[in-house]
Amino acid sequence: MGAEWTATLMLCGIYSMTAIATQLGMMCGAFSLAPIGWMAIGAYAAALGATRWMVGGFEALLIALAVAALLGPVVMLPVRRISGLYFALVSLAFVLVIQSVVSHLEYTGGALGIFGVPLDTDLPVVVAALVLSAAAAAFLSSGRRGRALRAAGQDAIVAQAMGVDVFRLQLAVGAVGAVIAAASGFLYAGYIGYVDPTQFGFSLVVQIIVMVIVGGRGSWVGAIIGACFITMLPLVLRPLAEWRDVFNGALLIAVVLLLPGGLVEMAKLTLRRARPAPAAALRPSLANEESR
Amino acid sequence: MLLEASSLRRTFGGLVAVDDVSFGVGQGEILGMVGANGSGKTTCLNMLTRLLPASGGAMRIDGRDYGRTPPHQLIRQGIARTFQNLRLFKDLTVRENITLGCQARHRESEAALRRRVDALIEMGDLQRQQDLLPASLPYGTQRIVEIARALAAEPRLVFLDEPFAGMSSEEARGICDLLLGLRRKTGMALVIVDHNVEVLTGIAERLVALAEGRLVAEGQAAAVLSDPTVIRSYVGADV
Repeated sequence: MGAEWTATLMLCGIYSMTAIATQLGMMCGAFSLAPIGWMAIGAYAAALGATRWMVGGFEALLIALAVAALLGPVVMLPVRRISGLYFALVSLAFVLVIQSVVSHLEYTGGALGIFGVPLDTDLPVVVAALVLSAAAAAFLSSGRRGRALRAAGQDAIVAQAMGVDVFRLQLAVGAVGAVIAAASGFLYAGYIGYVDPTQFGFSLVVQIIVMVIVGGRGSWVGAIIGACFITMLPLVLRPLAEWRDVFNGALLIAVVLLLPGGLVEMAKLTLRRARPAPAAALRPSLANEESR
Repeated sequence: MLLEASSLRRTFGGLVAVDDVSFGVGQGEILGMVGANGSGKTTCLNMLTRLLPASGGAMRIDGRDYGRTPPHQLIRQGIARTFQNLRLFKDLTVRENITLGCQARHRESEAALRRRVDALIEMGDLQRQQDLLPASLPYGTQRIVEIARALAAEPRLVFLDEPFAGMSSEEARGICDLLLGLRRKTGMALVIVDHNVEVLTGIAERLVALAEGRLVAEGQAAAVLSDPTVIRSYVGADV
């Protein structure tokens, strides 16, 4: 396999993890963009661990994951009072605050960032991390938990009337999502070798949203498909590389209008055509199939 | 008394939606709640199921105050409800919707839950629709699914918010038969809010009537429906 494909596959895995973290929030009715902030924290933990704290990569990773696990639910707290787009904006503020803080602190390298992060991330490590993240997402979205998660995402009031502790579920998802996203950031820093504030700004937020929507809302499988699709696209469409944000926006509009269920829905329709089944009985996403 | 509501009050800013409403529901009793649009019926139900905090008053089940209990814990105390507008989970199948109704009350294995849900599916004659999504079902069947979901937790008290809305008389009678059969079998109490007075009087043993947020009549159906205040609240003038 060529170096370019290996690098692309590693990025696919890393972005898939961030997309899974974002998707989990959407699945339980908390449209949180905070995972991009947690990705930044994971990446800076890798950089600071190697250049300032002088600790091994594993210790730096543990610190990042512990902070994410503890503070992930805290960032999710506003969902008790606000929801939908308003909550998304609050979580976006978290991302922008993280970006602003690291770009102003000398300790974190300011606007220039930190160079010299050891290039420890390789494909097997990324694959293993992605498998673990997918397993966590599958665990959360299957059986009793999965029903509660999807119910909370669809109608929090009715879910509560059915005995689902929606808020606690959202806090748990906040913790799991933060840990997955922090790990993805840690891997990203070890892949690219440096961190700077521009890597974790609004452009990445848009990119992750596009991945989740294009892949298919309500499905962690869709998050992986969307992340791989968007990451690989520049390889196929090199001339559009400078227009990435414009292209992402256009793709987002096209998918929302033409394929609301995302690529995962398209895959399901293809499977349905290949294997005829009672049409009405089929569900809208593959994730739902998996949760059975 | 199984349920006691005392001096319930709810305000939205300066608007008093429910004011000083008190009533009780006995074990296994079927209570009908009537009133014109905006009379405060659904607000009462939302308060009694803790989805809406009360501005004042008290609510007790088996004599224990539950006015500060979080809504998701009510199902474990045997209180379930349906909603005015159909609110089935659209991405969950009929079976999953019903399973969700019982999984919080019955902490048991998936296999045990499946057996429990099988019985409810049979009761609602939903065998052929159990793996379908709610949107693909006729309105009346969706209502049955919603009721089955509320009953899945084997509640002692069920609040039904306009269960007969949009149904033909025949469908409404079918739901009544289903509810009466279940009441006989389980001894649960029902509080039914509906505009279909004819159907409601056929199933409810007692009525309470609300007008402009206040309880204006309570008692046997004939007495409540002939009460001048109730008539005035419905037709807007003395008859």
